[in-house]
Amino acid sequence: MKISRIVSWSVLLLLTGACIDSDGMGSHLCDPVYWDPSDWSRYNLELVHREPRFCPVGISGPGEQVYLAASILDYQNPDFVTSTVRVVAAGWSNLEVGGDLQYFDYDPYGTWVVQHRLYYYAATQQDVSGDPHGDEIRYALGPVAGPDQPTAEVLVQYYWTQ
Amino acid sequence: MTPGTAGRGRLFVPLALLALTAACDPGSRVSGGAPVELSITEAVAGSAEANLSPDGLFQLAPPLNAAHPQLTPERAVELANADLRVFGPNLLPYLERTHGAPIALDHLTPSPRVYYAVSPWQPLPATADLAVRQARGPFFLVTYVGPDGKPVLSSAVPAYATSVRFRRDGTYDPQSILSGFYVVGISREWNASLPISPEDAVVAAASATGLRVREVPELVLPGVGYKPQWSRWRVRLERPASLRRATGSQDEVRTDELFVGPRGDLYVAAARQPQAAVAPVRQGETIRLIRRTAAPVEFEKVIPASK
Repeated sequence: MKISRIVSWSVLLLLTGACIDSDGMGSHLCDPVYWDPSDWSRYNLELVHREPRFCPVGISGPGEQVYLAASILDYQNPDFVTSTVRVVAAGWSNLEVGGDLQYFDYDPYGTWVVQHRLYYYAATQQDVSGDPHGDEIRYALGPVAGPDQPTAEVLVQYYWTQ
Repeated sequence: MTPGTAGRGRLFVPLALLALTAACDPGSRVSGGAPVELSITEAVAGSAEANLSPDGLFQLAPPLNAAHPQLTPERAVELANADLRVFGPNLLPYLERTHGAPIALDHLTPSPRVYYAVSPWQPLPATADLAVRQARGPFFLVTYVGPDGKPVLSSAVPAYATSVRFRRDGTYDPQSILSGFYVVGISREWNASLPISPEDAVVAAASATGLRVREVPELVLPGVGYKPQWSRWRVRLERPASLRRATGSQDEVRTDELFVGPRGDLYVAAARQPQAAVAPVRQGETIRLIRRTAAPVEFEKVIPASK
């Protein structure tokens, strides 16, 4: 048995900042696709997730690490084997700023589930000056539509076997 | 009840049912068909008895010498705590759903007993992808209890997660790999740690078979497709017991090796075991996992033959 191909679809999330705070990073409005259960359930998936700011990706400000975690449940036909998440900075840098590989398995209740954890640094532009340790580059996120609208693409891909 | 012995000594309903059925087994120490539950001291012999402390807890073997550097149990708890502090709020809906009640993360404490589960797979080479080595290697399992001492969460920490470090400001070092970390709620109806304690596993096996356990149990991870919380305690009886497959043919099985599952259910190693499994890494890239000798990954649920 070997990996035959990546599933033909993936969930591409474009997260666009809207709220503005003093450091220009702000919290985010969430793309509706992330929150509409039907967009996940039509693939027999369920996203069980919450973030303090009610957004999938929160950029809290320069010098702070951003955390994202989610449990993704694969119902009915547990066919996926692995799940990878890639967070790619949109706009200037287009660099991968975070990633995670996890395996789908049955939890103790018989649900086929994967659990992701992501952390990354972010800034409105390539920036090392504010780094308290001097060894970290905070990758630029955006802007696409303006300096107060940082963006990141969260790409979730599932692999299966045949 | 102290956090470290959550659920010990009063196993849940399945164990009580097993104890009820044990009286008909030859050599049973349970008499008269009464709902008698063996104590841990009644359930052990040999080295299991020798390694039972006066307070009725096993002195478990330290983690195996592994092919790769491993966390200490203390460090595993530190990482489990950090994981819960950082990612717990994000994962809370899943945790509460599986626990069956609201969870106050700030009020949880880790049980002092941390269990080490061995992998059924041969160690992967150091050149293999670290994410796969972590996910398919040994694990530490930490149970978190609430203020009332009842189990709430079970956290799985890969024993090979030595890359996980923190910077001075408490954030993750960018080189940290978090593959394999997994936390799940423990159903509030179970009232036991996840996995159950080795003492509960021994009592379950002895009560079901009427035979004593002769070695300190060993926690064994499940095969591919099951979270580490599916680990089972391998227990060895003083002599073979008669059991019956719970499904399928329901024919009799005689063995002195049982595996006790998360809820005290009994299993035997399936007759046919795969020699290897495939772990995908990236698109089009896989790693072959070779099963260790005498490390089953396929199991069959059993019940006492007399049932």
